[in-house]
Amino acid sequence: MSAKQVAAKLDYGQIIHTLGLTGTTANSLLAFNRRNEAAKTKVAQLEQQPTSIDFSHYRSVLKNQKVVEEIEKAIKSFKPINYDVSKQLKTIEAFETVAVKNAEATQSKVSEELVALGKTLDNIQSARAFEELVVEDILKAAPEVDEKVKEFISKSRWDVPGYSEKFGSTVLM
Amino acid sequence: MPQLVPFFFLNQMFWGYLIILIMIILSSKFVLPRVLSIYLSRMFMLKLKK
Repeated sequence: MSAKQVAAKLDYGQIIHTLGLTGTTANSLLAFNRRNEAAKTKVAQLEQQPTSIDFSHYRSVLKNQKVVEEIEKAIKSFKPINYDVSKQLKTIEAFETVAVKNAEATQSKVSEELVALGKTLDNIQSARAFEELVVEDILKAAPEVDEKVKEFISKSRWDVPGYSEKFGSTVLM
Repeated sequence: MPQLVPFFFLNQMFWGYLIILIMIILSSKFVLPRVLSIYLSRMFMLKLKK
């Protein structure tokens, strides 16, 4: 299938819907489609116009034969200039590679975020109720508590300030 | 065992000091750190609840 056939078969609305595009991306894609359609219709219109000029008709109609001859000469001597578009193509290719790279980077970033979000979701789903928490869970979740314990032990402090006010004294004697 | 007979004093002192030493080591290495971590965890959860 040639590129033209593929381009003709593209349904931009479907693409936007499938990829879930929004905002500027969707708008620019639609604008591109509009420009594409306009260019296509213009090409079709231009293709329908006659390309050869009937100079004998003009010679018979116009009195000034010199003008007709000059125009005929100019037209016959006209040669279309071939522009070298390789530079533009290169620029476009460079732009394309950068765009593809960016897209890949975004994709990897999004997939990483998805993995992290999945983990968070798993955490939320497998989380225990507050009442079922044990000391090991807290120490695992908050290593700073464990560090504090070690700090207290190194200072030979066995009581926590403010504990007895909140939970009552555990001193028996 | 007659505890007030001076013949057994040394024996009792030995076992008494040994038991005290073992209790001190067990408390400082296992029991008290565990109690302390429970206290600090409770305080931590209290702060989280606020």
